[in-house]
Amino acid sequence: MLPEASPDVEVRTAGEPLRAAIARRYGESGGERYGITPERFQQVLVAVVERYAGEASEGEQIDLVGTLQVVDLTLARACADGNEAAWGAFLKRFREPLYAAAYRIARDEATARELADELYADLYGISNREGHRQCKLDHYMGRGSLEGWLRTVLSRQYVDRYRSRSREVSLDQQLEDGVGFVARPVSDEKGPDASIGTAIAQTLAEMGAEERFLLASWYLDQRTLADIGRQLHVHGSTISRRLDRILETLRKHVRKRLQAGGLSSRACDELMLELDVRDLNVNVAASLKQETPIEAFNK
Amino acid sequence: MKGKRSEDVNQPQSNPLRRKLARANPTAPHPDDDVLTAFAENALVERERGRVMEHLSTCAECREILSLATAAMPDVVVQQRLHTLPVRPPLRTWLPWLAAAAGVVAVSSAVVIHQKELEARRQSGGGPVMMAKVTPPPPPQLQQLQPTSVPAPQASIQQQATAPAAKSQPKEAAAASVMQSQSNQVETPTQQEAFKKAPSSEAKSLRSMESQYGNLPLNTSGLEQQNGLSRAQAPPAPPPLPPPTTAMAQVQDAAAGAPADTVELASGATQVSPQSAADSGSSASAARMKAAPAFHGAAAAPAPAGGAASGSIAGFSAAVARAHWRISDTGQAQRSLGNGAWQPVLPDEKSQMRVVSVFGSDVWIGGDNLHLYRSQDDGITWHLVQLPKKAAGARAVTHIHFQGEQAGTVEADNGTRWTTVDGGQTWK
Repeated sequence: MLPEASPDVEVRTAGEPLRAAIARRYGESGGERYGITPERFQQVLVAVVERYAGEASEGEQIDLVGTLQVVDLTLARACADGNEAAWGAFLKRFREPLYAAAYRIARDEATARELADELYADLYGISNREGHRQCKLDHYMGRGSLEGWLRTVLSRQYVDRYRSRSREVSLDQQLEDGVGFVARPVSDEKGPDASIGTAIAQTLAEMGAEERFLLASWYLDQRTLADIGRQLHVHGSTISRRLDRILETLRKHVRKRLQAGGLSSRACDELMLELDVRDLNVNVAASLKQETPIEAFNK
Repeated sequence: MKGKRSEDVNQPQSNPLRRKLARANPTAPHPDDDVLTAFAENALVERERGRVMEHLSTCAECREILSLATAAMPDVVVQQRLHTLPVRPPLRTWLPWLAAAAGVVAVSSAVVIHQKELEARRQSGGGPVMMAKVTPPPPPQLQQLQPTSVPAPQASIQQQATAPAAKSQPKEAAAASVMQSQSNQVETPTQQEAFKKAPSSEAKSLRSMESQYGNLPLNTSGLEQQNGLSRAQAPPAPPPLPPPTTAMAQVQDAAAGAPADTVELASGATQVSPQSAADSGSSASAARMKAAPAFHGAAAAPAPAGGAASGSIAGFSAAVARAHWRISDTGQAQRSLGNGAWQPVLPDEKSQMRVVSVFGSDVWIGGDNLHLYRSQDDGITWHLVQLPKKAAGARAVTHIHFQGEQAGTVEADNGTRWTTVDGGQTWK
């Protein structure tokens, strides 16, 4: 269970306007149905504010309180507290969507059912040595909808599951896949593409985050336009236009950098347009690998 | 679309761009599930969203989770979220307002002209107030062909007006006498001049206003019969107008130089025939109007050219609101005008559609059996574009990419590509 602010901390950190804002939201949370008292509600929301906007101004904290999904948050906390009525409401609302989401993620009924059941077990929680039940719903903070949060948790669970299972591939399977015959890669920093690689890296560093996100999603992750569009809440054709513009800009800037590096216009053209992939000495596996260790999830 | 990019950048496993993208280091700790969820639901404030975006641009794992989570959203939720932001670039959001403003200006100028006319008549003695119907006079050499028993031509102006006092203008007076003998109505020369000079853009504005108010008099039955296709959601066609007699048709054909606008200003309703725009020039808007069915069935779909045969599908709706597009799960191309209701735009198309591409008001839809449709007016009218045969094995249009209204590329499922530089008239 996440450490939530104690009443003493609450009194110390939450100013009167923030407390008033939290109190206003209690009415719409429906917490009384599941035995969430105003004090408990205040405690939960102060913990959320501390977590996401502890250093922010009071105005921003009040704004954050205004954006929280308090109905879902009280339901999740009531479930975590073991309220039967809350569990009834939770199952009624989320049982079907959860299985449907698991199926959309796994695209296989058996795997989807396993995923969903596994998550249900985590959501219900297990008792620790002190007899206190640890429930995954305690991690829900109400920033997005509870249904969306369940989808995200399912997705993370699916990725973890895929990774753990991928290590269990047999040697025969590896040989069938050709893994046993991988040649030792050579360094990718030598060769005719070194200058263009440097120019691209410099240009990428100057680009905006969203532009780099689009490029990575399209060229690196091989996502579809529709998929990227869903993530950014725009139509796929909008993504297509943006990618065209970004690519145009990228080309222009890379060309400028190459010319600034002493290459003639013709040499730039040759390098950019007639780059023969056979001349490139690239260690693909190393390139695609994440170079920094992934930090522990912030949860 | 994808094929083009694949050609440009997506080289097999050794592209420098991909390499550099993959080497980007995550700049901040991973956002937790709550923040990722809020990002996926567009519920973060701008500053926080920027931070998450910065992280996502460098973290493949979070991108993967975000992608899976959004893919798991129910379709209904996805559509609702797509509607929260404009599909078109923000720059074009002023276009509907401009059209509405132009319409208001056109109507108000007509009212001002009318009031000035009334005032001028009052000052010159004034005549009895009566209904006036104004018809542009045919050329003098054709006046004798005009039968007095034939109903008034379609190009007419009806409005409340006083009788003209300017008998000194023989041409208008002659035409007025013809009309007066038919329907006891009198023309006003000033009004006639005003509507003669009315540019096609004003006519279009009037038409768009009329569309907005759901009083669209366009007749689609001609093209529907021509193509054997119709749209389920098309409003019922207005009753057919009486066919012109031969003499009348001759008059209309010969008087092509005269304005053929049909403008009615009565009880607030405004009507403009698309023929006026079609006759007015070779602009894109005129071509668009030509594509739409017109009165008397005079205007037809653009003729095929350059080896690319085109058919037409008639059908329209009063589309003034911004259109949203999608291909449904069943492969049906659908459009929504922002009210949440999706309507099929090609209801008679049996093949499954696969891709929709929108460039301004140009919409392309492609699908199985290499069916490719184009609309130049936001889906009001559609044309079936025949792609010339190339390599065997191409079964479906899977990618459409247009850099402008004219130049673009269409790609089939087996990689066959067709390129046009003239808006689909010819393909290579």
